[in-house]
Amino acid sequence: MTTIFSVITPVFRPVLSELEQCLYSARGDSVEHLLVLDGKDNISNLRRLKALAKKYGAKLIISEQQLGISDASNLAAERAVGEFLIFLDQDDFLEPGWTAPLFPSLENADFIYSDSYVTNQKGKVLWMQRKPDWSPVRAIHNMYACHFMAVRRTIFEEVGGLRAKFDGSQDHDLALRVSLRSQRFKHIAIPLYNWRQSANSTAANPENKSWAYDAGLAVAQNHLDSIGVKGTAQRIENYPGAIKTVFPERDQAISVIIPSAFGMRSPGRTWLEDLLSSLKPFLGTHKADEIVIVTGKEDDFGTINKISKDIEASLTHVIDKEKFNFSRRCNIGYEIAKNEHVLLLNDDVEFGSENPLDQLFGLLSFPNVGLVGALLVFPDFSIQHGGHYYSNGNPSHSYHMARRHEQGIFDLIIDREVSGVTGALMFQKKSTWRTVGGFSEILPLNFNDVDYCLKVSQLGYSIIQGNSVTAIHHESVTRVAQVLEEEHSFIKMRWPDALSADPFWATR
Amino acid sequence: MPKAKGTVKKLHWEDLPGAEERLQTLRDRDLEIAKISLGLQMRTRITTLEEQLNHFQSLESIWRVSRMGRIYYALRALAVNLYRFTIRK
Repeated sequence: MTTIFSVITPVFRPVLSELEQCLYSARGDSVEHLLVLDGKDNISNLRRLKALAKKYGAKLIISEQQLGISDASNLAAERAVGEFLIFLDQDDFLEPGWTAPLFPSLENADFIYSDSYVTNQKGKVLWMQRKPDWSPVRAIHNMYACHFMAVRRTIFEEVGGLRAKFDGSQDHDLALRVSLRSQRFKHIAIPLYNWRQSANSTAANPENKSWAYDAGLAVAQNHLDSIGVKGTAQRIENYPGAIKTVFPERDQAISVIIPSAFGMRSPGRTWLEDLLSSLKPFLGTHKADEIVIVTGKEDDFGTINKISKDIEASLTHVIDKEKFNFSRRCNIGYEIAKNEHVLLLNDDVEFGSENPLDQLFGLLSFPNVGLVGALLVFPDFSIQHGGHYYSNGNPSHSYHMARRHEQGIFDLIIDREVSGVTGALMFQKKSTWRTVGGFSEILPLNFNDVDYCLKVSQLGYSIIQGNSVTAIHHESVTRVAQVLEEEHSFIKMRWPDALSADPFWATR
Repeated sequence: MPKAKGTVKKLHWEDLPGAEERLQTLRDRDLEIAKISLGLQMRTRITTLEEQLNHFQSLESIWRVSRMGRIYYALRALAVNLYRFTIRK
């Protein structure tokens, strides 16, 4: 029988009953299991270990000296003969029949990862960790693709194996380095791995191995440097394992497009004025910064005059006499915009986070990113928009009305790939907008952003939900919210499959 | 870098040269993308069906060479031969 999978388990002061479960679970016809005893003194009963290895047909490699998890794994990898290497911790175990779901992907993938279970100390399942499809930006900010991961052995050797300097997050480092070598990542949406909550494991308490999170930070920074993204990786407070990239001051000008009807927020003051007040500190660093306001009205109630005295950017007021069509107004704004980097905003948005424009610029600089959105909250700070997700033919705002920090929702903490972002706040290059043919005027009021994002994705770009940028969205205060049935039908007709399931929605 | 105040301009879209032609170019491109997208979605459906077929065929070939599979096929061959022998008799 050809060996396809080499399961590697470094052994260091194991609980032998847990190790036995690990060995038992990994058996299979096309599988070899390599145990590496990391330091011959790091076991209470070497005889028992040898007996277990013999009983379950595992190859036991004994390292005289303690090597650390990376070098111990590399030692086993040198002796592996399987096509794929799988890393299994000594206290974890695999699901029965774990090899079967992998076979369809073996030919076309270099890196395969799956969903997993988290179990208690006795091995009883507590909850399932569902994961999104491969998301390179997300993977920098949170190592979600470990437990279970299978790497093609030739690729593993090409990238130089695991690196001891990142022990604790060596798998995170490996996944990111493989992503530089190959795009063939496959997600198996079935749990194949059981991650046991041992007393000293991160599954039980993330703070058990805070040094591992420091290693993760170093991994993220190393990767940012490798891909030429100018940013600094920082840990996110209260969220172990979550990282954000903080970007330097932008070095290019921006055009801000705002379709507006000059709706009044209070007597004598429009929503547009409040938006631009919140944006003012971040504009004007470049002489070419500009604001393009697209309206159907001649009369701006003196708003433009007031704004122009206060803001340090060029102002263009474009009047479109045609009947209101949000897509058309956006396209007009893009046509008028002079700069390559364009921010589309609703006039009922107010910025709330530090340096939002620098963050948006930085997120757009990740390889292959075509569009960036932000986290939008209602005035009571419940979530208005955390990225689009698609299910059963319907697009929705993810985590609508949720409480970001009260519920500790990771998807709302880290910058990550999504299927779409709202047209209330979109940042991209003008060339991208032109390539996809702008916003479709067939959708005058709703779903034009959904359609737009699907076009962007179809052309191979990724879309980032920039949760490191927050803004308040007083949704639909400046126009009457109205969904036309024909718009809903049109979007389903145009995208029959894309709206049926969402590759980035892990809770599916 | 020192901040600088900019200009204020007011434009009527319909007065701009080539305004509607520019929007028409976008509409044409939008429709083109839509057609390509539908074609790609249909192709993906076909590829998914092919993958599922390959998956079932590979499961069958794995079963064939596994221990249980070999026993099964050996017993099946024995049964077929016994049946043929019985028929000839």
